[in-house]
Amino acid sequence: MVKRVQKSRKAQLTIFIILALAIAIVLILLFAGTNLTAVFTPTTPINQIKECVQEPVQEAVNILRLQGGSLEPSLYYTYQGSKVEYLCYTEEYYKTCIMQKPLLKQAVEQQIQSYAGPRIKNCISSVKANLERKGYQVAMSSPQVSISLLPGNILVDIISDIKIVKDQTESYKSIKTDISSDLYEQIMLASSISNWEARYGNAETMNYMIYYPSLKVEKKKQGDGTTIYIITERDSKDKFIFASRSLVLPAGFTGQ
Amino acid sequence: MKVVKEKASEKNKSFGLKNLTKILIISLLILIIIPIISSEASPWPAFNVCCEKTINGAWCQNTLEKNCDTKYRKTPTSCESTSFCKPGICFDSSEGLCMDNTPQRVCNDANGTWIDDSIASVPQCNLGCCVLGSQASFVTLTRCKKLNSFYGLETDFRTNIRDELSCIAIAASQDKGACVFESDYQRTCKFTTRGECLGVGEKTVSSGEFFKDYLCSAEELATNCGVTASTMCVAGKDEIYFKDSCGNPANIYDAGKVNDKSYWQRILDKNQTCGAGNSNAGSKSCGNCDYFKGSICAKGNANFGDYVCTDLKCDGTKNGNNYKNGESWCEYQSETGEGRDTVGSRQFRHVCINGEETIEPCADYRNEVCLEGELEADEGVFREAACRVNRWKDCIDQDDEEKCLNTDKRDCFWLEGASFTGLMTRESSTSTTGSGQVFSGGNTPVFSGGTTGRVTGYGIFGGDEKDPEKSSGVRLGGGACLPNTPPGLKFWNNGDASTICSLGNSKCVVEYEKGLISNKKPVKNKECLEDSYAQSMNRICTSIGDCGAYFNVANKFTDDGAEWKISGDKQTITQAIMGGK
Repeated sequence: MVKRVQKSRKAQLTIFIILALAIAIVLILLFAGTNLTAVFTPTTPINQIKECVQEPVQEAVNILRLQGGSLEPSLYYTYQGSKVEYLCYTEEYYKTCIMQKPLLKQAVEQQIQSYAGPRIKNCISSVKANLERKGYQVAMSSPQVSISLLPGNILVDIISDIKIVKDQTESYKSIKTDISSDLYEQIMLASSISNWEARYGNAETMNYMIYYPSLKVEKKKQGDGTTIYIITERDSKDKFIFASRSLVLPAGFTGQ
Repeated sequence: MKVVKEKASEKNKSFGLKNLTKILIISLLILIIIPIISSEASPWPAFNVCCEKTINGAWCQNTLEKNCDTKYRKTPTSCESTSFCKPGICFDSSEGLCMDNTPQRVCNDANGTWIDDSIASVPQCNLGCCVLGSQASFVTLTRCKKLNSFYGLETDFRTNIRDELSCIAIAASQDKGACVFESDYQRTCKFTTRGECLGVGEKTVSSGEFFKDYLCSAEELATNCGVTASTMCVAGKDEIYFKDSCGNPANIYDAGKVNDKSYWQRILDKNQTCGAGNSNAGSKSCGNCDYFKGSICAKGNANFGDYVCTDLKCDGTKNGNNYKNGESWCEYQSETGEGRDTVGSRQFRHVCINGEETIEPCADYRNEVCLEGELEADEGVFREAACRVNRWKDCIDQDDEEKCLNTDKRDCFWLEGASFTGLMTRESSTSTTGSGQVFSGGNTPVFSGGTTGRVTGYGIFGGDEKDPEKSSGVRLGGGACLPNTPPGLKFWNNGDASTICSLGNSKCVVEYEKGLISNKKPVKNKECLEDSYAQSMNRICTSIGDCGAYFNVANKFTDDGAEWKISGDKQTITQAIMGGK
């Protein structure tokens, strides 16, 4: 009899512990701001593929922002430990710079694609394998990833003939994902500044800030005549940094 | 006579041949020696080839041959003269941008369209006014189409507008009002321009009906857009606007008018709303912000809605002063002007914009100077500053005070009490005895000699060693034209710093008279034996550039850049002697 009472007490205690843990988890999820519906609603196959996009694109953008739009800068100035690519450059004194990246937006799109493309494809392969384990029939042609920078966002287009069959059939020709980003605006401004540097040699930052109050433009002249431009979005604090060397004056008569 | 003539002509011939040979030899010597001398005298890199790509990855650079990437082309000419590196316009047909000074190879590799012409002559690069709904942008036609495609608008490109200000004015002067249309069997409304209203109509079931100067919340329009207590910022506008239930902007936010139905009927001018003429920064009840008065719509706590007029002034800046939005000012790391800038110092421009202070360094080595000025405006004084090229290079060539102080041409000052004599020997002494005194300014404490009766320096006056009886270099008296802001020099390199500093060398010959019984007495240039001589010479040195004995940016005094000798004996250069700059 005593043994049975002890057993039932133990069972009760276990139930209480499980309940307490469950309540704690729910509270943590609530306070952490996690969307409970998202936690408990199973992600659709197409959303799982879309989730492959965000992380690699964001990683690429974070690298490109600090390196003048290049993943591996070849012509660069080392600024605060980062290799910052020159968009416009001349070795000579008293000369305006030679444009090095005339189509910057397209160059950045290509760089994002080269970084994120293979990672997205790998992720999609994992999603496909995962879905197949869960009983889905997935037919998919080799995906092509296309990146477009647009005002306010980055459009990622996964072009592939996808067919997912389980209880119902889903078919897709392409899957488009928007990632909120101000990179387009910053790149357009960087192009405008480098164009100004190529034409006149020295851009005036205040004009840009008056025209675009949401952006901060900083100009940091370095000892060798390089100018580092930092474009910062005032709300998000996202930066785009690039270098230019134009209309440089030598120290003394010869700079030697 | 004839024979004589012939002999004479033969003599002339042989004389001519001899002369010709001499001339040829001299010319050859000149041709051989001059480049050697010039290459030694000037360390300026002789950029002699155009590299399609350099080893450090730069495209199309005029540089030294050794810098060229061997995998790419190079020609012994300037890049402007080559086919592959000729700079031109690179047209981005996707974005409608014209990029200047782009080499053909770079443009082609980037899939741009390269045009061998100036930007003004390229039709694709002609700018016009692109009207984008209630806004406008001064861009190319292709860019205009691109921008309109982003916002789903009809292209409205006006080539007759020739400048940006007129373009912006067009946007502001467009008819605005309520565009009423039907959507999902509901009579709804969009606050827009007349032109855009027609566009709205095309995308909806019925065509839009435009009501000029009406707000969408106007009761007589009978739309589903009603009054709310919400507010919003509008792109391209300074003010905070009430927002109707359809998300359209209404009139400028005024807490007292939130329930006033008449305020939600027609567009009211900015001057007819609360706080007109003021910045209304920080006001919780009035959203009449004004960028030029120092405020703009931004997130914040107000009586209604989530926006306030944020203050764009910069209070408590690094120098402790308050500045208006758009003002800029200079920062100097030391005393500046009249050659007083310290070694290693630099000038900075500070800018107050959108309530934030940003700092822009002017070019290093004081190649740029920061200039500031004040403008008298209705709201008081407005301060502006700019980094401008330091035009110091021809200062020492000026021997006339008026020319020296011509600020249209150069940035110099006139110093009385000492003057440049250049390479010319100023005086010759006939005295039988003398006392040697040397003052040498330079980046290295090298001294080229110092026998009796002279003051000399190294380098430029080294040749005067042979003639110790002559004064040369900078002398006391007269006036000298010097850089107002002395240029910074790379005095740690074996470059041109020593050449520039040697311009401040001075040799002063002191003449003595000795009686039969009495000791010798200086009779000429005796002032050269005094501390004031060294001080004057050092003043010249420190004003030429980073030369002489002076303070550095850390306020540390050093005398490495100067040497003062009297009769070969090195004199102590103290801060007390030299510090009185």
